[in-house]
Amino acid sequence: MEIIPIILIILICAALLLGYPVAFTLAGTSILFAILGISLDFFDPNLFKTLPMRIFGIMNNQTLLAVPLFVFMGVILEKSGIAAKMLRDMAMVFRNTNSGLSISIIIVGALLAASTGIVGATVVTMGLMSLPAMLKQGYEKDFASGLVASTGTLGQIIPPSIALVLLGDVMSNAYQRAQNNMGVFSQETVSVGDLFVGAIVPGLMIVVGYLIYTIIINRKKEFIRSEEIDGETNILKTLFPPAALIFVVLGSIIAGIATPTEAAGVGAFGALIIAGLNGGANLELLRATSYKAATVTTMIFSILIGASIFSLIFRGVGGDLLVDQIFEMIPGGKYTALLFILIAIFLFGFILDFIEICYVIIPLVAPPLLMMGFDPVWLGILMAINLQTSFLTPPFGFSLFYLRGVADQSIKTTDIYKGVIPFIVIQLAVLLLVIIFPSLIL
Amino acid sequence: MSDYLGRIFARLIPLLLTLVLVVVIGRYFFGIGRVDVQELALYVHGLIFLGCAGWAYSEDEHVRVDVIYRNSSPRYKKLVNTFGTIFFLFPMIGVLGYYAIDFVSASWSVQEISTEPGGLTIVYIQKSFIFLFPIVLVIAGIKELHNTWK
Repeated sequence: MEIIPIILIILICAALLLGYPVAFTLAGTSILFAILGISLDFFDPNLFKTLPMRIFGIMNNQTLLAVPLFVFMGVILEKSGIAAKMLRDMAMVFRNTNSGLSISIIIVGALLAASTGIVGATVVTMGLMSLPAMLKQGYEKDFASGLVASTGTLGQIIPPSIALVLLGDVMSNAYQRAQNNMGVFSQETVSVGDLFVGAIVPGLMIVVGYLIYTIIINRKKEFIRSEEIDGETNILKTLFPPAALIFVVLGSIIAGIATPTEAAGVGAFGALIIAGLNGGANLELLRATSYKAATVTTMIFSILIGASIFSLIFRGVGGDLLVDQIFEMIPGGKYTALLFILIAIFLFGFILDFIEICYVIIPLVAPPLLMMGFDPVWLGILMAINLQTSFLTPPFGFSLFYLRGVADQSIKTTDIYKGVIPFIVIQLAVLLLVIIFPSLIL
Repeated sequence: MSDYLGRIFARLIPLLLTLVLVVVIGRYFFGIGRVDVQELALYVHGLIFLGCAGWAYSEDEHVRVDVIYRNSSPRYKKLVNTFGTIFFLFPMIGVLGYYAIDFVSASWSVQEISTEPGGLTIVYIQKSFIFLFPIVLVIAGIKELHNTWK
């Protein structure tokens, strides 16, 4: 058993728990460990020379250029008030039904989910916008908070999500590595577009599952009509432009007409136009959006840099061998290995956000799984749904923490935990269906 | 200082958007593929995510594993941040900065140009951007230590 990489992993886990920013903890702990390794002769200092090349590789990655543009698109829809307006107008349309507001939240959430892709941001926005309104209408606290926490994680799986862009980048490298290891000459590739297409059916299944549950549980409820959502509205005018925008962005990627980066550019520009049509576009909005988009982008790329420093050093001290040995130790066939990895990733989801898991864990475990013959798109979608579920699961799910942060004190933490359970069941059902019927991945 | 720089680089986002749109319009409406504009977009992108790192650090925008950190005392947070800055951030900056020198100067000495036909001929400038990351972070780190212990 390789012992040195195990020590590195333990040190990093301990260091991460301190709470210093993940990007620099990953990089710093690995580098100190490597320096120790140089003096004890288990790390080759020449490997450090490839670090700048790795950063340069990130700088020249066309696919990752889509990240700031998608973030920009999401932030502008949020900051210009379009998101809030969509939610309000949809709720008005459904105001005479029992689950009107919650249906609106799911649909608007699914549409917006697409745009920011960061669990925390979406949950906070949705929580602030919709939770008070739901409580005012007399929804149960547990149901309302469960709905908001779950809808906030849809951004992980519904394309065009940033999570899937990053996952696409990682899976394409992993697939290449797997095929290299197997000595495949005519290599196949997997792209961000493939993942977007693959996520459509499972994503819709989750949304439909949420909708059915919502309608069933609220069918007999007495709801209170609030004046806030009374009055005339032109739903088409509010809902159509953002929906059309997302359709165009997604459609052009899926049809293979545009690259994700090009589509993201058009999406960002389109969002700006929609804000303009709503009378919300001005220099102040552009400035605030640029600031937000720049800090989020920097946060993501700092983790990429930190993770690439970690993986260089982890491999430099024999981490690859360790991963292989762990896979050999797992008894049973390839499905046991898959299950083992999915559970491990699920547990990592309690402490690490999507980006870190994507760039730290998946590059290590995906190549061996792909070498067992699993389909890369299918595997990627499984990991995405699995992580999304992890973010929802008490007591450590990310989404729950963020919701706790913005929710009213009258909502107890146990309400949130109780509320998400049915949604977790829906998630697991979809995950299971995708495992059993791989053809659900288009 | 790094905040100030960060805000300047953040303002490049609309420029990045414009460059990507120029590429898209060129390709789909006029059938022109401009490799140089495409590369320029990558240059601007690099400037943004490397140059804003220090600002994002000062604004506490970098994600943390906050299971313990979230509910800890201000004193714990202060100590963790000081410890992390000295033992995680600075070593990373040191190693990256040191090894970037050879990498970038090798590029300058051959006046490296793009490997793509029609690409930009100033790849050594792009590679020099790598220095931004350690520079803005070291400024942000020193600023943080100073503010904590002054």
